Amino acid sequence: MLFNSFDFGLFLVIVYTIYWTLGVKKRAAQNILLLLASYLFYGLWDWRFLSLIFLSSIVDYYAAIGMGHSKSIRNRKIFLWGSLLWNLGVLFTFKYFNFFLDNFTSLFSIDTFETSYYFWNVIIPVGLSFYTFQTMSYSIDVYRKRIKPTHNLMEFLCFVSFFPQLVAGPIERAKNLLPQFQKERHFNLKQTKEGLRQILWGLFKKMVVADTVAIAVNAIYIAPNEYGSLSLLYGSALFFFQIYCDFSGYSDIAIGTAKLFGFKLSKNFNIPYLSRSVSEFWQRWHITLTKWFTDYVYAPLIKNKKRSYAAKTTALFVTMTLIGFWHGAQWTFVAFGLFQAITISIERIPLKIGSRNVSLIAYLTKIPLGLTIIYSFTLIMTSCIFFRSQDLTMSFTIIERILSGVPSDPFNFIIGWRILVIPFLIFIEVLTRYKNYPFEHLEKIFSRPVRWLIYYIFIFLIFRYAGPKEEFIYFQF
Amino acid sequence: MPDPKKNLSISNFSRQQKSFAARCILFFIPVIVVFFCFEYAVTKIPTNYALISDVLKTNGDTIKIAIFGSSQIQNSVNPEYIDLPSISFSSTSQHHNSDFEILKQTLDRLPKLEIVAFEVSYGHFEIPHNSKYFWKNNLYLKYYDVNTFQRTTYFKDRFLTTTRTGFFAKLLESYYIKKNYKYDYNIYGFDRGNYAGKFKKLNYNTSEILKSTIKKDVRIDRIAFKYNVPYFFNMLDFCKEKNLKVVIMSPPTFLNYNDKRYPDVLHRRDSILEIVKEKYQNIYFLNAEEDTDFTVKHFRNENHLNPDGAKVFTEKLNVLLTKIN
Repeated sequence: MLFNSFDFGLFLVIVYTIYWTLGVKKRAAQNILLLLASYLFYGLWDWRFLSLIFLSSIVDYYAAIGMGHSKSIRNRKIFLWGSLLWNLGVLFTFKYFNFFLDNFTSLFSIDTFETSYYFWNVIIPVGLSFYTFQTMSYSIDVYRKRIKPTHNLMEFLCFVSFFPQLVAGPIERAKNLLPQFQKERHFNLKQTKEGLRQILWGLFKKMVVADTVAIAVNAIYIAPNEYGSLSLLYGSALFFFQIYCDFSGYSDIAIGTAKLFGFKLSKNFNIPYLSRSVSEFWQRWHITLTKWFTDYVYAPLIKNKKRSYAAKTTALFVTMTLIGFWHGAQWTFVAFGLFQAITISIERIPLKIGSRNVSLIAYLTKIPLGLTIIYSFTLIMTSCIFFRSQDLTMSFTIIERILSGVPSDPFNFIIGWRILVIPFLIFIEVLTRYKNYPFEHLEKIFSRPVRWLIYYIFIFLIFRYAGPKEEFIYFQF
Repeated sequence: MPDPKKNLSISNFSRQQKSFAARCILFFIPVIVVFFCFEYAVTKIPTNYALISDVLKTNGDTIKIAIFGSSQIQNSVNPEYIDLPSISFSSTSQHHNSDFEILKQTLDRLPKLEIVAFEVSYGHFEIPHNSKYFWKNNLYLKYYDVNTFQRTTYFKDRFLTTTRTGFFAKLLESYYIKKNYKYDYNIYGFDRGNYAGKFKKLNYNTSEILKSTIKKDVRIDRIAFKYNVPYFFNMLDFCKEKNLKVVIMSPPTFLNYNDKRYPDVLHRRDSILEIVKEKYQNIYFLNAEEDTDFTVKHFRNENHLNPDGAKVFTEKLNVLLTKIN
């Protein structure tokens, strides 16, 4: 059930109506309803994988309780490793097994046609990386005694499977989301309106911007050898906006939907194309994933902030490679992560100018914003080439063709005047950059008739200018 | 008396909630009304799907030949020139999985069906199948009563505007407002006026056409190939089981398109067809990719014929079908 589908609209209206009809006093019944709705939502992708999400929840729930009861560190470690092994095992089996098998067979020149394809021809469960990371963070936090384990299975199952953020995040921490299942939710008109507005904005970004831009990106990336450097540059820049609007549009719909049920989810994007550096980009892009890797991979690797540049850089490379690999079992994603690691490590090189210690990041904050945006956007766009390409050969071919200035065939926008959706998006987002999303607190600026007019205009734009329906890119992760 | 506030009831709503619900209804009523008007207006636009559906309903019990494929076949086969009663289900972007579902689910409505024709053009095996979200699934359900969703269908699956809203909005604008929606469908749903395209724009000037750039619409996709080939064999097995003869077609493509083909893709496709030839008895082939009977004036663009080209190709197909029958 895609967020941008009629099915989801109907599903949402039904669940929402029953949820509030139950009354605020019946928190447990509301939780049961949310769990059933979430399992239905997930089961409509593939019923078979419901057992997987249920099993993962059970394993982590009891592992955490085990850690809570254990007095010795050794026992706590056993429970933690049990939980981690389960989660990483599931991830490996469903997401990475074929990748390692393919590479192993290629390395030893074994005929792969039969083995890699037919041996373990399994589809990746939707949202696997998201909910696995969420449950892992719960186990680690319980182990570190940052949170106490819950003893209410229903609440924990709801936490793992909450449908607005189940398949593509934001990756929530138990500390933030779990308590929200434990307390009464009161209908809040203001929050509800904000939720609906955020959903509308998310739908606009996904259906009008991302899906329209996808037409041009797909056309260029299906046969990059046919295009000159200008077209490839254009296609790669557009892909950045496609993936941004696709994923942040999804996040807006998820956060807005959660608001309708009285929940608050974490912010996942903060206008990433305004970053001054690649380092800053990761503070604005998929924020919950960055925080996850920072807390559970990077920080434990460096242990304390005073470590040397070399130690920090090593930790950075490990973290960014894993972030790349998190996206999918392909060398292109590994290259994507490595590219980010290289650029961030360069930005962090400590330089001594005169008596001052500076770094490129510090320098970037002092030069005009426009130049730094061009700098960071160029690097991010280059890394996006790895992200979008079928394989590494294709990535390098595109980069080579861009750099060698292959004359462009008669350049055209492919999507004609609809390319204007990009400047329109940038204009709106920059204008409202201090808000969580452009429609926030609209009632403070406009009267109701004007607000309604704005909503109708955006609904019209979605109906009239929606591109061909594309699945959300991050669902595959 | 039971306390109404303890039951599942709208009386549990606060005044604020009731007011919000009322405002939502007020807000969405115009949206819903516009949606249904939009949907109604879209269904009133003449389409080939409606005409094909009519053929299926009225002549289904006499039809002997069913043709499947993508826009290449849709533009290449005009059933008007086939002597035996026939129907063409081909349409833009339609792949084997949609073809197969349409065949399986209309078979009981085509009791005299003897021959089916499938497309295996140059890159067909390397193009991924239509997804379960393919926007035409709603069209197939609405007009052919065929479920290609790979799931149970509901009332909303028959709505057209929810599938590709932008496309249908443009169509409405073109048909009702700008009045520039041009079509000349015959009773089989074949558009006899479909000449517009790159070749006409370049006045059928071969040297200009050869100079112009063409975009490849096929990429090397071994994963799709690995999946599509066994699927195609399933289709052939099904036809064998149902005693249906099969024609495998590849329509003509222009010189510059042929020059741009990936040798690997071509080789893989041809090697599969060799296996088909050896394995099955009930299969016939019509490969017109490099057929020199087709001149520049028969094409709309590099890989689509215009109605004149369709006439020539269909006549060739007709000769084969008559021979088979």
